[in-house]
Amino acid sequence: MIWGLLGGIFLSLLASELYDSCPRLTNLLLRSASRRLPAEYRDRYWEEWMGELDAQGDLGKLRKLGWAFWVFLYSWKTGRTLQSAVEQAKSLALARSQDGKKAIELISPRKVNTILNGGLHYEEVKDLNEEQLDRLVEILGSRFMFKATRMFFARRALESWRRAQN
Amino acid sequence: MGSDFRMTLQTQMVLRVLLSDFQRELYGLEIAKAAGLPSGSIYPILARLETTGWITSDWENINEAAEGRRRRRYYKLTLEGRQKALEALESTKRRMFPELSGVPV
Repeated sequence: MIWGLLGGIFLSLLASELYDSCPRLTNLLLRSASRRLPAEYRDRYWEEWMGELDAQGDLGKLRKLGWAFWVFLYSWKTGRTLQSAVEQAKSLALARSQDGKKAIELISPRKVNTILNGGLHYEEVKDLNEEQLDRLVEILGSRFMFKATRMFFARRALESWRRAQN
Repeated sequence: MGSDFRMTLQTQMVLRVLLSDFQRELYGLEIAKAAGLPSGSIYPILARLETTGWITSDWENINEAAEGRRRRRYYKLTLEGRQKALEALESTKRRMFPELSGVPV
């Protein structure tokens, strides 16, 4: 009996503590969500989400937490969309530069898969210097989903090609 | 007409809301409520529409201290986006419900 009473009090204290920490959790979720976005967009979305949190007025703390959870859940997708826009813009800027143009002329997008599979042809890159090769890796890299992986494979493909040439 | 991205059902719902009053600017929560979608789920859709130039967004111009709340980000369709959205919705409708072609979106 006494244990039941103590347990009840403890659970009620725990629930009240959890309820009180909802705003902190909400902020934490939104902060984590914004960290999943490209750096260029973090501040904007953080501010936007905080504004939307205010717009929800007197909704309960739990409902706001629920909303933040949805935002967090979908932030991965938002981040991917924004990341691809950022990379597209960077590639475009790169392609507009003189060296970038040359690299793109030398290697058409449809050959990217062949290149990553190790089938880079000497004729296509023989005139590129070190810096241009780096840019080429960047251009090729921007066509695949996971930046670290694609950069690794693109660079490895180029390096193995160069070794083969020597 | 091919849209610049995959036209999911959720995207169509967001577009319908934005098209329903083309002149009006809406913030994320309003769009989500009107579209009947979980509010947190619409940001990837809005981001996609914005990066492809179908919609544009801007901060509302308020005095935050006086209003007692943070400013909101408002979205609206661009002219080109409106045209493309109408065409995309019409094209989707034609594909899914051929018997309804000609009925306004």
